[in-house]
Amino acid sequence: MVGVEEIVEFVLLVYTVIMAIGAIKSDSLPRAVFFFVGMSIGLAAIFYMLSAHIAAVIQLFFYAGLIPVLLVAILSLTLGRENEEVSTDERKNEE
Amino acid sequence: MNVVEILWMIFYYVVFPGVLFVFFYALFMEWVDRKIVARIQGRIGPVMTGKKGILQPLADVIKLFSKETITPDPADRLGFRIIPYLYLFVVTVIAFMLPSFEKTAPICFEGDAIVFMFLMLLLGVFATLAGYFSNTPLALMGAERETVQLISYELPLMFALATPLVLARGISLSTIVEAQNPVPFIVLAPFSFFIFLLCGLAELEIPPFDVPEAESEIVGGWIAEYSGPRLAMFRIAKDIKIYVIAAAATVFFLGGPLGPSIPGLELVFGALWFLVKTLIVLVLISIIHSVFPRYRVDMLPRVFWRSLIILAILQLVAAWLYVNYSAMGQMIDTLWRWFQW
Repeated sequence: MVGVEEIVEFVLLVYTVIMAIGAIKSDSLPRAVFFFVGMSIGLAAIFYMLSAHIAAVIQLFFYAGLIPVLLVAILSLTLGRENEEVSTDERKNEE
Repeated sequence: MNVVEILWMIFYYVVFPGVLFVFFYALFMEWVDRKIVARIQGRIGPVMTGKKGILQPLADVIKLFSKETITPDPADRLGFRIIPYLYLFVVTVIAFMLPSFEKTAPICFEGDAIVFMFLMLLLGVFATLAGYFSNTPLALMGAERETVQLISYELPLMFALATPLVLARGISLSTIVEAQNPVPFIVLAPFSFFIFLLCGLAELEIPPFDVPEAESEIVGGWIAEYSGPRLAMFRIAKDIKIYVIAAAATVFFLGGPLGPSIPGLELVFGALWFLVKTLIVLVLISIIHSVFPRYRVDMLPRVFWRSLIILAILQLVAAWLYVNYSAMGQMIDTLWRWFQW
């Protein structure tokens, strides 16, 4: 007999894995940050289901809250320049 | 479960303090804000729709819902479409976490105060991502400014919100409300309250901290490319955010729904006190909103990091000393005796 909790846990696991794969595989950096946030929230929900409440709260606060802020700050510092470098590489290849 | 309980559940989640209350009270708050700002600037504000223009915010939202949706060409389509829904969802969840007429809220669990802080941060991250997903010059500029603002206000906000947690010795909102039974925390931590209010203004992106929107410079910043129903969602979310900031200031510092009441009518008086306190906070926000001009981008980190963060940390340490005063007193006493001996 499969209970409701097991089903919810399974759905959360699948969701977390999909989000984690998305965070690694996506080409655009904003999308990767977005998937990372989703993954961290899923992981926090799994911790909460396993009644590790404090771990869930810490996971949510740091990995889904503060680290995306840092990632976004890095994005804002690099996003324009990354394209410039790509274009110079292309020019070198053409030469 | 009998019929009365089911009806009460429906009333609780749909009407008060559920979806309808949050939505219409948020629109009402926008109307009050617009009226106060207009009066201070020597205008009369909205007058046409409803009595004294009270239905104007609702009319604006309905108008936006009936308009066309445009997705810009360079945008990341999935992210651009999904962000407004997520933004509105997260804001509504935050609004449901705040106790509005009794000590518990519709969403209530151990550690919800920390989750509340996290969700406040997440809103800033979503706003930035909305700008990056739009991928047009104005939106990117807005996203960059949003990032600068986010890393400026996030730490003072966290320290300001940590002070009530230290004073209440708990990490859930119901504990914080209960701990303010005789004395609200604004008396014990006044600086934290004002820092929270300023950081709340930065979170709401209204003057003097409307750098990411800056309609006269970058026509709305990260929100510039949104139109139609998606823009309407951001509008509703922004209104609910005003409610969230006012309600959070009430819950964390002004004692939430606590106040003098007649025995037997605690719930009614709780709701009444909550409404009165949120409106007082809203008036404060509106006055700051209309009186001060916008900061420059490079001034923002200076304002928050040089003065507010130090003040917030000092207030946190003072709160910790106050809570542990008896233990500290004993320790000093012991040391003193040992010294004398």
